[in-house]
Amino acid sequence: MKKLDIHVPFGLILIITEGCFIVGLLQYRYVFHLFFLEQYQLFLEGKEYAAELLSRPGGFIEYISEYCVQFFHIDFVGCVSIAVILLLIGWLLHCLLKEKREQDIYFLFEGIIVFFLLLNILDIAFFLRGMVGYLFCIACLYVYRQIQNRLFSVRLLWGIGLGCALFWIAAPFQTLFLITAGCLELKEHGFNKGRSLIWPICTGVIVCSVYYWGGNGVCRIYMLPDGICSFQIILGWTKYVSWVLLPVAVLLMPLFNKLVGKIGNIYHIRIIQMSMLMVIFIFVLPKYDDGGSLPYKRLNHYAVNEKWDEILDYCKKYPPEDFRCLNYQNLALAKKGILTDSLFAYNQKGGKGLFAPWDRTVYTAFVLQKVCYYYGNIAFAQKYAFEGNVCSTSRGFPETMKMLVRTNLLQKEYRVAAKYIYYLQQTSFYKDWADRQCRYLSVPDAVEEDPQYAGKRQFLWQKNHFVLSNEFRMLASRNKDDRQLRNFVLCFYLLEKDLAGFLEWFNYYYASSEYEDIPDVYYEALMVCSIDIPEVLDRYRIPDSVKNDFEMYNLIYRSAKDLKERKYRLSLYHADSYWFYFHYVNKQ
Amino acid sequence: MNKLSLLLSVILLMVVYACDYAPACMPVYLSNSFIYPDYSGVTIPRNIASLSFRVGTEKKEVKTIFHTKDYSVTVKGKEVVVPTRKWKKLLRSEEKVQVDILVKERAKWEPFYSFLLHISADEIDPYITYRLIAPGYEVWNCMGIYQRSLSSFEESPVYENNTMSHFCVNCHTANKGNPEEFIFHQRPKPSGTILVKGGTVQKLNTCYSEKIPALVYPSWHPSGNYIAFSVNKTVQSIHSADANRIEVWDAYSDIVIVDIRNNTLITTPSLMSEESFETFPSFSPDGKTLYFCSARSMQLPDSLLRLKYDLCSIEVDMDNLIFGQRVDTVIKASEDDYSISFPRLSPDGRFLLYTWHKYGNFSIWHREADLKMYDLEKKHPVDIEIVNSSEAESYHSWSSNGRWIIFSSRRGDGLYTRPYIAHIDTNGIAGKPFLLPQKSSSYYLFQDRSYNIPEFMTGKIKNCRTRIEKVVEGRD
Repeated sequence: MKKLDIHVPFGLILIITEGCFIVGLLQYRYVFHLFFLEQYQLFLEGKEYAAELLSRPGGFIEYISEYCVQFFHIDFVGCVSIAVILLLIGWLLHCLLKEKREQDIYFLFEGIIVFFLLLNILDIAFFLRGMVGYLFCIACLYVYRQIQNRLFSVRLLWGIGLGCALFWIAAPFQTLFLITAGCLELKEHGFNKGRSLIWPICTGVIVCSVYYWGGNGVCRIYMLPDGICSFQIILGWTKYVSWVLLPVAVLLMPLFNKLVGKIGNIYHIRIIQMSMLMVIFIFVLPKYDDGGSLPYKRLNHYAVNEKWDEILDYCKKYPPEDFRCLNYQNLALAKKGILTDSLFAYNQKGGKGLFAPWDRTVYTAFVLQKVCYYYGNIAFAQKYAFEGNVCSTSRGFPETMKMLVRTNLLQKEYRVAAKYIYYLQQTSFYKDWADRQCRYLSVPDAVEEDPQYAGKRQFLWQKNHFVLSNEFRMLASRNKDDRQLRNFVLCFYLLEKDLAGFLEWFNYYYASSEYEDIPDVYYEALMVCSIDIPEVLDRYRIPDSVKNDFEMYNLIYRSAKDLKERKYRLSLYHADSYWFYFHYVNKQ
Repeated sequence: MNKLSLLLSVILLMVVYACDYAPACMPVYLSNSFIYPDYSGVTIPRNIASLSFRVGTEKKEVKTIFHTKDYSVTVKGKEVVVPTRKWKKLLRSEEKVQVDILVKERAKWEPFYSFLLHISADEIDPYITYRLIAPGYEVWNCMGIYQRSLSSFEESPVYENNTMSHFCVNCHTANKGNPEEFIFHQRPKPSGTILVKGGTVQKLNTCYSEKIPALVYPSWHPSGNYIAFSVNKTVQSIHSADANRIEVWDAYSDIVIVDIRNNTLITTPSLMSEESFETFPSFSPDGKTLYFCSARSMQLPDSLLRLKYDLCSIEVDMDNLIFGQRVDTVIKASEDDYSISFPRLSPDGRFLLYTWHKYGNFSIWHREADLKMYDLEKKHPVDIEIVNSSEAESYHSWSSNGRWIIFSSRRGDGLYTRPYIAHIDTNGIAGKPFLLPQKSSSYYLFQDRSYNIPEFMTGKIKNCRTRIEKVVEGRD
């Protein structure tokens, strides 16, 4: 039998490996970042939005990238799309930089550029259009390289044409194209009586002219790498690497070939390059991948999809420290009906863990709008939804837009709700939801049949007042029978270790009422109150189990040799109790 | 190259497919009239851009005929857009344009709706300026001051904060609509007032003292050397159960005048009384009187519903820096249990246009706010109810010839402010206002920002954008 001689090109192996690696990395570690990217924009499929974007330079890549990002809603689409774009960039780069067929073994520059593009996409302030535009730029450079054997005048015309086309469809990448085209000219034709410098000189002149006539803003948007990032950040060095390295790679490739060629052994060359890439990957990625925001993005995704169990599972394994994450955790507890039962079984950091302080950021707006809406604070839910929406560079965000629809329907502001429904009806994934809300514009009372609205109208005030930071307490006092609000207020005081406030509200609710099944955590707090106010024990019948536990707690507390042992022994038996929280957790 | 072409084709197909996705039908509940925007019976200037509107009918075949005695234009379809050349020809000589909308029913064209467009011989200023900003609470993002040609749809930024998103700009105003003399404020720090005058752009440091950290509502003296400003401590809150979503009031307010030639502050006790809140200064066209709104100072927000601003005036001689001894009350709104804001005199000094509302001073968030006019010559109010609606009408300004007014109105949906223009004849009779025309009828549905402080300009602000940017961003 003849032996099958299959020769698999190294390039193909590299592409497949790289592709699998990128998909695996993104799906395993950054999948929630990709979901968040979808939540961080609102792509509208109407002609007006298309006209708005396509009518300005660079609007084409913006449109394409937003169109793609909307599908990140679906699992795996995000990681596969990004992998495909990166692989395309890598392959085209390789074709661009490769001088001879034998030089398929070199991939270091391509690898570094692809890595930094991947790194950039992990930053929420870097838009996908930065990657898409880069692809277009490389494609144009590839075309430009193919005509290097033509006359200079032909190359000049092609360069102008490609540069203009790139400006319109992928600004600011025409700047990168022109600079790199100049490097290509230098590499292929040498100085060429100065002709090779025409592109860098033109670029400099154009950039300076735009800066002078159009201003700093116009220059940044249409000429510089800043144009593909949010203007709310100061660009770090990682954003510039792919821009700087491309022309450098084009210029230095011949030298690189000579130097590396001296090593001789193909396998050694490949291993050295792979090792260098791995080193960069290991040291740079953890530092710049915005890993600190991943827990929030994960919890946000769960909250958006109402996966409360998943939130609690995650918070149990990885106790959150950030207030926004704590808000999601406690909202999940409330949604599951176990806020009081399990409050201290999870990490807590004070009352702000129930309601984070407003810091005017979209991330906080996302979470606060949900918390407010859940507890019936419709006015504030609308405020945070609106504030969050304002932060968008497009028309808004899906979740804030939906909240605006809900709150305006509840407040009977049908024309305003219609506007937001109109936006959502132009999306792929929220159109159905928007269509369902349309019904409530003509049949307002049907809102009560919808679970997302049922019971919310009761929270709307009959008599007006200014909504203040203590709105939850006001709502709670007005809706005494609402268990969720009652628990919110009491838990807030517990978390704040404000026992006077807790007792006052506890008396308000339970002194003369017939509410049953008082949570154990309230009894635990009463035991603490009883130290200063012994009559509490007479006023309320505290279960023996709680009293016994409290006695045990005190016993351990007093019998421990030192502070460290005390805390350790108490944590073994009473970590989930209010007493342990009261003594050992620092509220922020 | 073939692979590249394939890739490009795929991408283009994606774009075409996406664009081809038809947007949702325009919600009919946005307008109670047969057409949206409602341009029936409006009075328009001869040089206004084409009025695009949409016919609200379920019939498939619609045609609209615009005709005068000598000329007619037919537009097919529900989206009615008259090409510019034909539109200009239509408006050229006639005083009225008859618009007939017909729908096809059983192979026959039936009349659906007809209306008139009244063409005024009075000229209108060629440009307007406004700020575009989301009608929000505390947070701002993309905003800018823009100028728009009234005879076309051309809109260009005077200043946009899209590169430095933490800057807010507001309270732009020009001296009698002069595009070479205007100001606007910049917030937050380093806050100040950007002044464009005499070909230069400069930033006035307006932090004069602890009590005067920044200047707010401006009014140019006709000489161009002085600007009166209010100094306000503005507070915002949210209503829990009120038709008005937000409430804004001034914890305190006073009026100062700045000599912009040397950035010196001019004050007078009459305009800085501890017993009252003075705001909304407005110089008379001859510069001899300063009008302003004044309310008795009180504890806020507890007494907010009782806070009523009257319209007052004081004589001024800015050349000699002399102020009148007494403050006159022109309209005692508080006696009739209402409040006044934004007093604006017509260029001939005869008519006083102001905003009327039940209490307070931030009228845009008051649904009941309406425009009112007072004839200072004949000393009686003038009926301009035709310009008002059931939603807020607020900020307004006059054209340079006093025959047109532009004002902010929320009549569309109660939240997003849009600019409306109305004709005022020599007797103060107002014509039905029209919405600033756009290329397509759905533009305002799609626009998610409000038009703020609309003002007429007698010309285009020439490209000083880069200079303004440098000054705003401190790179000057």
